[in-house]
Amino acid sequence: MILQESISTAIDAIRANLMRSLLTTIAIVIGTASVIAMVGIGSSAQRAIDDSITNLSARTLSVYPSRGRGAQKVNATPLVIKDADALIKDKEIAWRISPEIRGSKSLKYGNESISISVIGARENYLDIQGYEVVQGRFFSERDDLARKRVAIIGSSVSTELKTSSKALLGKDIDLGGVTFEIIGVMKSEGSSGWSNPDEQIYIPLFTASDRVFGRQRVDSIRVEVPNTYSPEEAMISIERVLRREHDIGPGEENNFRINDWSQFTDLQKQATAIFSALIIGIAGISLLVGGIGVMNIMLVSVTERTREIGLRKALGATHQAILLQFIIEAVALCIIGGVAGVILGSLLYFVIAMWQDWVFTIPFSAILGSVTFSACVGLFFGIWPARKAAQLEPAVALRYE
Amino acid sequence: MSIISVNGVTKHYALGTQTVEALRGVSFDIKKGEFIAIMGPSGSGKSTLMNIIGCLDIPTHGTYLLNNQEVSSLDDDALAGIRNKEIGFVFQNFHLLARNSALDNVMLPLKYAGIEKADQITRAKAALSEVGLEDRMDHQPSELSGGQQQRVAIARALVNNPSILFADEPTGNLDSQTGHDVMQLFHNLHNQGQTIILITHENEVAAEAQRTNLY
Repeated sequence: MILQESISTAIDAIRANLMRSLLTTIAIVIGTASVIAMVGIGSSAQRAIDDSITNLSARTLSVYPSRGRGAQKVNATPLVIKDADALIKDKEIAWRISPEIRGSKSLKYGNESISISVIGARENYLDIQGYEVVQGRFFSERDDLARKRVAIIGSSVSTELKTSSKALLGKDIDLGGVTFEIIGVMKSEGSSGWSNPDEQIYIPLFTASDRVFGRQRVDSIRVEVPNTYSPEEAMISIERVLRREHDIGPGEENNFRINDWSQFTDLQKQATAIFSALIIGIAGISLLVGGIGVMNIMLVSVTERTREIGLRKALGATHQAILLQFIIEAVALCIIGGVAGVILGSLLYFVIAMWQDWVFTIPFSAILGSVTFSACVGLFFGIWPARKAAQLEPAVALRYE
Repeated sequence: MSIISVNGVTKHYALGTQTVEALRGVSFDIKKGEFIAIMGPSGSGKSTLMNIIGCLDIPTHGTYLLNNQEVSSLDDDALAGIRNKEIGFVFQNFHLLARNSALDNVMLPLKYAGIEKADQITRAKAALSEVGLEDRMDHQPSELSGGQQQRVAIARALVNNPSILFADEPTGNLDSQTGHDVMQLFHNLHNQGQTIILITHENEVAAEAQRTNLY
């Protein structure tokens, strides 16, 4: 009975000072809204990333030679073209193998001379990387087997040579002392982080091996696994083939490394988690500030309503009844703020999800959590003003001017 | 039989480092069904006495028996219970809750008494009818005249059937005609057997009572 009365009294009091009440709750609204929006956006973004990894692209693994340690470095077993051939011949998994030889050479054209990163690869490189040729063509398997001196340039190479890509097409250039014909120009791809495909030159693997670098050693072998296989299955198969090629006995360690790209997404997940934690921390501070605001306005309210409190006591309200009335008012203020924040945050999340084409899922646990937390903020910061109200002397409060 | 028995009541206040003696050994009895006026100029300790008799405060020394129950030793919550059930207050400035209807104002003591909602409404309506405001129940105080507001306050004071009706300068904020009407209402209540204590500084008002205690 008293509880019901206290709730309706609290709602009346909030309604009577509507503008003040709404302003008081703004910090709570912002705090809750940012929690809801962040949790929602975070989960949707994560799901979008996961989906793109599992569905859209096949998994790609990369094999590297082991990093030799100290004196062993000299003896470290390299990865060679023969290793890649062994992987190609193995038919257990319908994977695609792309060995790469990389190195830096000087490129001369006319009077211009630049240093350029050279990629020696197989004809499937273009497709596996998802790159495109906009002018001319990429080299073929026959070009590769014939060790032809043909090259495809990245989109910004022509600019570095102070000419147009059109003018370069079909022209001869000097690459590390070997003459190459430029047969294609790549589409601009943009920097991928540690390398910029636009600034590189692409030549057939065997040409690179026999004519430019003079080595069988490859820098990496990329393995594209169809998504019907897990990365773990693919890793086991790669190990089986390469351990046989490298004559590694049972119990001995691998002398090569396989990098799974999921490590990269793990890192991204970690970054997302840190970012969310940061935002939720800020939201926590916002709720704390909001709580202090509520406490402040409740203290004002108690002072303003001293005579009302005196009257209620004269009519028989106990210490507990007054305490309850003001605590409920503070909690109600915070819950109203929390609910408004949930609506605002969900709206924000919805708009961003629509804009980014993400799946929108109502973050129930975040909603429940943040509204509960808001109520707790109200409870905590409402106790002191409510105690002040309850402890007023009825005789003094009645005559308060 | 005495409904109120005050014996040697003193009240001391600490005012800074000094102690102020607001009441100095007051003794009197009030019988059931009496209509008594307590008179005195401001500063005479009238308000202090009223606070003590109204159970809003407790005496420093002395005894106060209300319905043969010693009140001066009770704790805050017990005093709240006595104010709720035994005493009905009428104040000079009405003290109505501005945002609540007349009916809600009258229901307030019943809410604190923990009475069923349906009973609250029935009893509050009956009390309002008794003071002649049955057609103003849904009005807020701002929509009522001063006399009507004071009658709402009287209905609120009577709704829980108190032993004593306690009126502190009930006509102080009213014009003489309205004040006269309110006093007439008190006489009617007195004739029905209601014990009434009236606190005033006006001789004419005090003269309406059966007996006057002077300070």
